[in-house]
Amino acid sequence: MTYAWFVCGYELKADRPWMRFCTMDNFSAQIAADGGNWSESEVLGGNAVVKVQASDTTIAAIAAAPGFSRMLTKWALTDTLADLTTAQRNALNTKLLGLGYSQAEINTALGATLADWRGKTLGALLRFAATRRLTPRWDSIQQQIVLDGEFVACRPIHEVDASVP
Amino acid sequence: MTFPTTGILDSFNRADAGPPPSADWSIWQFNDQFRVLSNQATAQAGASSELVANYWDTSTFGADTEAYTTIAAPNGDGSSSYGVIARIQTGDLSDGYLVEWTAGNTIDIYRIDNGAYTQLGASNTGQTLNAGDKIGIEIIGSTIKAYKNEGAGWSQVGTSRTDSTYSAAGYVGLHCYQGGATLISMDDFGGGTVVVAGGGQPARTMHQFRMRKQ
Repeated sequence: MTYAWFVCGYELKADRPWMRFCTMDNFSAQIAADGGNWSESEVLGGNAVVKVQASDTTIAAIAAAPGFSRMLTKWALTDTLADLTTAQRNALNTKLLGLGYSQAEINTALGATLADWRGKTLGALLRFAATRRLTPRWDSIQQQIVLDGEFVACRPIHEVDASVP
Repeated sequence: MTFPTTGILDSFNRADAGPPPSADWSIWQFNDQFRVLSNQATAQAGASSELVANYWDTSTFGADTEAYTTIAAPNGDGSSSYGVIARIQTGDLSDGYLVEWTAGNTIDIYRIDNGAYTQLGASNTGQTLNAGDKIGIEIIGSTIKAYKNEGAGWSQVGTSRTDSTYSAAGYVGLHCYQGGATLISMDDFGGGTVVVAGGGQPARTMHQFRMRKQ
């Protein structure tokens, strides 16, 4: 069994578009068959930071699925990013920008250089990703869920971590 | 902890009326409503592929709250669902939490924001639904639990979920999705502020009161 952290999106229920679920739920049966578990924190941009415990095979399948980004191969929040490569840092930076955070925010939280990032932990990276989220609403005219409400706090990463021991 | 700790609020055992089922119920979010029909809460006539929901409007309950009901007559439509809502926020009635049992045999927990529903965690699959089954929600602090009773007593479904978006006291209510045209019916709606063990006698159900009188 392996632990892994992912960023993934939300999907609408086919017959009831005012309902959405974390796309990790598409792997719930496989994860449960492994004897594993998952838990999530909704973050900015209609995404979720998700911790998963599952077999190596399942983790690999999730990582290969469209819309899923594995947050390095580390899993302990205290793991340092000391061995982070430039390519990995760039990919993570792009992912954080894609969630909706600004480069200035990223630089303030994680640093502006590779050396700065290498001095951080996985926990610091994930906590930044879960800085805030937007409150959703159901737009009955457009028949869609819209993320344009006020900013609210995300479920704390340490809570997600503890939910998948 | 036992579930539920509160008594039944409405048994719907009275003459046909509504919608809504009585003056103690209000329409929730411009959806279709329940009415009293043959001593049950039945979706209003003509409801089809619509949400059917009402909330118990006599008072809000404590932040630590619960609600439950009996799924008297599932309508056989594969898209229908049957649930209870709790901690419906007085500032915005379209905010709260839902536990629902679907015709697809899942029991899921949702946070509702401005009418948008977000499933919390994994869907609890393999939950075969039969007429007479009961469904419940318990919220204590930021911990939300789903309960079911298939006739052998209440049991928690899956693991709890954690969400602290809405922490204030609120209303409780009935919430179903009426798939198809055959009207669904619910019964014996209960709930209120969770009674903490040692803090007083748990509220008795109407059935228990009747049994004690005999």
